[in-house]
Amino acid sequence: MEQSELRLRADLAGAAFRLGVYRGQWEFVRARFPIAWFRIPKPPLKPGPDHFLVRVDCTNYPGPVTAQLWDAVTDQALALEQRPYGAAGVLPAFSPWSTCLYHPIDRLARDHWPGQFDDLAWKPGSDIITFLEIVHALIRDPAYLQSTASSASAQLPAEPLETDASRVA
Amino acid sequence: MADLKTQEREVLFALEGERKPRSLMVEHDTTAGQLIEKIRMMTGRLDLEEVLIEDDDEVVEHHHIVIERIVIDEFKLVHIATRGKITVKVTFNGKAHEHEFGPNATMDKIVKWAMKAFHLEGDPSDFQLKLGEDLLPPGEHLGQIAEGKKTVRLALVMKIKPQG
Repeated sequence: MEQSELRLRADLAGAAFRLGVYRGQWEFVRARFPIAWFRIPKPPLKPGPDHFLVRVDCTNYPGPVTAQLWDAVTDQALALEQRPYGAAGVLPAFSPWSTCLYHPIDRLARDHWPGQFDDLAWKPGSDIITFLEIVHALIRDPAYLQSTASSASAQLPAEPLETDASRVA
Repeated sequence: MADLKTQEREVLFALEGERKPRSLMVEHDTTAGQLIEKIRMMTGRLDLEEVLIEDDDEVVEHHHIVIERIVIDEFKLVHIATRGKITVKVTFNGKAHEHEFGPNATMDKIVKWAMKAFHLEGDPSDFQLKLGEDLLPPGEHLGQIAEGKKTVRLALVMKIKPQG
């Protein structure tokens, strides 16, 4: 197993990740390195699926990662019309401009704002928890009004996190 | 979190002066005093004296059983701290306000206090605190970000939503 995968699995097994699970901020679904899937709940009391599925590409972790909201039924990025919407349309972070989040923390999006938003970007010391904190906050945006995605869209079968490297195929 | 065979429970806790939370398995009837002793042994930090529950004003008395004080419906992180509060100076638009908080105060609690102090309206999640250039998540405890100091300067900022 390569170092990136070992590091990711160690972070997912750590107290900081479990703290987010206990707080109900996210759930681990499964990892097929370099891809890992997580579920993040919709804002409480607002219409939408129970959770959104987030597919994260962790190539070269702990370097910056890139992610999309994902549909477990179609195994593709969540359709635009099913993403989180506000009064002015789809929330900017989930706009269909590219195959990533529209936010400086995302590896693919970062170059879209050269020299800007350094405090929002991935920094030395950032990790998967940093990233999930931000995606959780983007979904919990007070501007969120609704999503028409079905709860089935986040129902990717879960697999336990294997932290023993010798037992991972 | 429970292991029914041994009645052991995982306690997740923040340590004053450390950014990342830690975890420890303890007996279900471990008292606050026993928890501190375990953590002193584990870390070598004899300055740790208090057990606090996230955003609570009261210190957990040493004879109280820690597990009974952890709220199950809404998860609360335990905080292990040195004695004393932390003075927080928050700046916003060139003005500043100061207040003392326990090391177990979340950034969310401080944001809500700051919004009142600066007479700001809106959703607290539209605001964020910064330590230098570091944006602080709402669930992080003051003691986790103060680097062991008893005074800290934070800036209150509107959350930025990058546009095209």
